Amino acid sequence: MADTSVVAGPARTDGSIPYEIGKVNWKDRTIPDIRNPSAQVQIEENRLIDVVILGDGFTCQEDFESLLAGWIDSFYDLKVYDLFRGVFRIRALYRESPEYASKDRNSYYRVKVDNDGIRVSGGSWWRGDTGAALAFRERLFADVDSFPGINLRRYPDGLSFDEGNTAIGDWVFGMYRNLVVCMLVKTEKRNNASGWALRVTRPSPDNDKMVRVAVGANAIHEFSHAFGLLSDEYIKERETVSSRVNPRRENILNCSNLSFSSKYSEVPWLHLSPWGRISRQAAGNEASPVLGWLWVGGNRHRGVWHAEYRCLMNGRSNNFQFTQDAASDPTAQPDGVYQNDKGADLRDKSRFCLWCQELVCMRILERTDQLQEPTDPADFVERGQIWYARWKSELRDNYWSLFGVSEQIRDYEAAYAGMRVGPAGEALEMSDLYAPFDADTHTHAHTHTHTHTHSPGLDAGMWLVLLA
Amino acid sequence: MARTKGYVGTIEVETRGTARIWFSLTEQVNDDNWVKIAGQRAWFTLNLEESDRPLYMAELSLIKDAMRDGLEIQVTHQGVEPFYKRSSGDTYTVTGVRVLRAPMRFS
Repeated sequence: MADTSVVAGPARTDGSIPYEIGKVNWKDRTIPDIRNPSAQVQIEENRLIDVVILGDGFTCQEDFESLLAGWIDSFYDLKVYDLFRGVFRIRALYRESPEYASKDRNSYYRVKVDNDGIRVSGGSWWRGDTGAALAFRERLFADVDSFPGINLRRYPDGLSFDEGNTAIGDWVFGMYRNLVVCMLVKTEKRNNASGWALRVTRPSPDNDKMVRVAVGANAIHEFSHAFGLLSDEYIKERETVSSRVNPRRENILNCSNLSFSSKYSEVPWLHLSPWGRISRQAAGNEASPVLGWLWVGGNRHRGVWHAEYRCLMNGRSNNFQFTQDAASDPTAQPDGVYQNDKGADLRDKSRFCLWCQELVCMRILERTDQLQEPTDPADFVERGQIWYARWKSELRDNYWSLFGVSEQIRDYEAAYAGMRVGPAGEALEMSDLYAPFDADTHTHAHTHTHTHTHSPGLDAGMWLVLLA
Repeated sequence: MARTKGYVGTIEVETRGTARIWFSLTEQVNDDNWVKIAGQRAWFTLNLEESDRPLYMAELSLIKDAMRDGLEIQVTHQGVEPFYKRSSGDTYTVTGVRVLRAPMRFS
């Protein structure tokens, strides 16, 4: 059982108040040993993952503390964060803000909020080297740096995956590897405004150093963008097409929760599917297994897929509920017209889909050096490839055992089998939001190991006679 | 490799542009509970016009024997083909067939 204590320390001379959150979980720095899941391993202090929670727009300490308590409860609801709670050193800092966060940007960290006071603004308000943008970054990093022993380890600079338009790109190089910042944002209308995951660089001349910042509400969803490099699985705009591609070379550093290929040999979560490790099928009136197939959507609508119907990384936006025939989908109005941003809510706040869960576990192990071995190559990009291969060939079995993935598959297939989401109560298995993997483009590729020779004298007719 | 198991419930030979063998499986030997994939009855196919005809003929002999003798088979196959038997997304090209003698069943 994870400790969810939120403990304030003595006020600093500048009036800010530091917190340690769930310290019992991380003070000994022990996590499951992925090479021996029944055992624990203690990681070095300089391999802890620092989570720093700040708050903008809070005029009252109690409001901030209340949100911290909600944050930590939600965090440990996710199995992977709970199992590996020994690695996340979670600390926070309360700063009294002169006013709520707003479009006027007079709050302490100068976070920009939309005119309606409900959502943290998109765009690029945190960039730029002057005014409120600079103030945001200066104050954020000053407070991050104020925590004793903060882990400033980064990915090496200047490297490249040498890939095309992939979900995770070269921007990870130079990023802080063991540090994530969460910024809770209080407005006049919201205790925590809806938000984003940002890439925030230090002010010049250190602007080659970037930290992921999860801003605003839906905090663990945004945190998982920032830490897990996970992408949104909802459809932001219908009938849009993704131009992204899967990496040509599998690498733990840029492996995405989305697939931009539908081909059998190219989807990274094949092992979770009904054609994977737990082979499953249905017949007659049984519900077809649906977990691990190709589920449409990932910000864009077409040309991108995710692994399950529901996940923490899904949302609402413009999702379909049952069918991509918009007029027939339950999200349409009675007259068959669909109203923007009234999509089906497919977010499950209590769990990741099994592919996101596995990815987050891989990220944790990669950042705490649990995947590396002395024989690993010096080249960092090549290491990421080696680590991914090692995960698949040696460590995935242990992950499977540690998380009880077989049981999770069974449980969630049962849950999906019971869902009646069609307009007339049709079962989820009848939905067109998913499909099995496509055949690879191939000349007939045999997997048999025996050899055979043609008998030049036998045509099809002779063969049929022989078979009769 | 994708695998589906069952009892051969039907075999068809059809020329619709391409000469093909089609077959479909049931979960029980004496029932019509057709095996389905992603909510649709699954159709498995062999292309009789492929150059490696002896392989297909060998596979067909196993399928025929299994149907006649009520033996369970395990079909290895590709992902969904762009062409289909009855409705889009129902067809899978066979890459292998395994058959067990009665009363054994694939686990």
